[in-house]
Amino acid sequence: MNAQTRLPENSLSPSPADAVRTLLDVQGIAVSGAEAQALAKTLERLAPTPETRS
Amino acid sequence: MNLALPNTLVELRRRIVAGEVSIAQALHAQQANMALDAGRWNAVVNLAPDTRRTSGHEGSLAGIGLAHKDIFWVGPSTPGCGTGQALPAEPGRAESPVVRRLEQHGATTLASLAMAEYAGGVTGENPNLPLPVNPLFDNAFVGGSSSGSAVAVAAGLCYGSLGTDTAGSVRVPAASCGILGLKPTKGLLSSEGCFPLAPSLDTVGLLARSARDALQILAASLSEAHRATVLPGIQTTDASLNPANWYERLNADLHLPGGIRVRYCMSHSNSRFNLADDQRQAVESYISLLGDDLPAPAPVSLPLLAEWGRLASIVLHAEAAATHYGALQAGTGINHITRFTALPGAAIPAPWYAHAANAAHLHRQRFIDETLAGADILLTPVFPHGVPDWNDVLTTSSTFSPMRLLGLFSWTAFVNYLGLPAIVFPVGRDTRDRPVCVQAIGRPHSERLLLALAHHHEKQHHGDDGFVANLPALSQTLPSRDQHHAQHSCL
Repeated sequence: MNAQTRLPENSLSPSPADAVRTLLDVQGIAVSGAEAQALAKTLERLAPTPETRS
Repeated sequence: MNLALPNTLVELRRRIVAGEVSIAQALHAQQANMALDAGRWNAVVNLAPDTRRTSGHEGSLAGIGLAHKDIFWVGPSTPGCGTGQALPAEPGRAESPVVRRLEQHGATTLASLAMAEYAGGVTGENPNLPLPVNPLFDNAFVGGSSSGSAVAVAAGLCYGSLGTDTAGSVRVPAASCGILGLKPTKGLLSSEGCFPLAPSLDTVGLLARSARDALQILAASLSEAHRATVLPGIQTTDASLNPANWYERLNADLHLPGGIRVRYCMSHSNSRFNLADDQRQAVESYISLLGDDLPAPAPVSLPLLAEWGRLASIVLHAEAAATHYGALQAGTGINHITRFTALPGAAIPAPWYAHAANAAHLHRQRFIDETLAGADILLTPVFPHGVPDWNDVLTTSSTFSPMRLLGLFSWTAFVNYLGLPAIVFPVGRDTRDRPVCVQAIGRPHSERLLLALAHHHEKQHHGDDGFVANLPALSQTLPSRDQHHAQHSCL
């Protein structure tokens, strides 16, 4: 868990997978590129949506 | 002349109380049964090396052999948790009070049973152990994480088993093998002495072939205070037992009150998890029959089902990451399935987890007030597309379908988030002749009512033999009382 997770807002930002990889790297958790991509998709699936922000 | 072991725990107990079978005979036959697993179903991890401490001669489970998921600390033994070896000893670690209570009521622990590694999988896939074999259909998958428990009970290796359920890990394996699985109200059965996965969701539950058997196991599992609250009037001592009115009393214990109100939901708010036609037909047929004896079940929608599933996933991943944080950092010590469960939790923002955890009680109350809305039970499907083949859900298979895997707990995980009791039991067969189960969800501490609902169907459609009629392991026989005495007098 980390309160600083942020997904990129434009194409100049790191990709979601890169952001996740960096986030885990600072915790000492190494992940492969494929794992980082899968994690980014999982986080996207788990993210609050406008309907669930209440 | 040989006497076959009966299909149900309660019938074996009747024979013991009536003096038709001795406790020693019964245990001998059950131990022999458990040994039949070798090379057939891959349910057993370890046979209990010494049953002396557990073979009580008094109590409601005297002479009954049980076997449990290899996740409990039992006596001096350390569980393996599906790692393929015993976990390191932890001095001072308390043993499971639930297992201990069963033994105090006379049950004998026969074996520890296979499971997904660290309870982290929704199937029985575990690279550390042989793939479990479904006793009903060779190609059918076995649900996890309490995979060995489901296989052992469905094969007839034992009469019942404790498992743990974090997102469906009792109900999914039970449904995959066509037996009964009960996830009690959160906290009803202590999780002490049980290796954690996600403590906010982890629930000790049980698997059995009959609702009457399940009631006996549940009654013996509970603390006296909980038993008085949840199962008032249920006796766990021999003093009240009378073979002459055995089934009359047992049926009365699980009488389904005629005024019970049932609601049902067949549509998932995530359309990918809606039911296949044959699943829908089987569940609808059951609901229709239920209306013959109860007020007509009423449909209800679950608009928050996907949201509850999302919140459950957040809590599961976050707490699993905390449980296995050291292994995630080390990059070793857990297999790819456990890692898949835990790793997302290390990247989940803390506010997501805090929000999900803090909102659980509000959602539970909303479920009670709005979904049940004065009713007693909500019925749902279990598997939207039926019991899949191993090849569909095995992560190493070339035809692996992630969506089929996610579908397996699409109707169960939210119940853990809400902390409510739920039961699964078979109500029909699909076009492949595989079992179709329903899930019944109740209000907190309504376990007796849920068992009564299962018993109502079981009694009408299966008689006194339980949900599984043909048990491979129970083709074995035990010697008659005279033969047993003769054999032992020769030693």
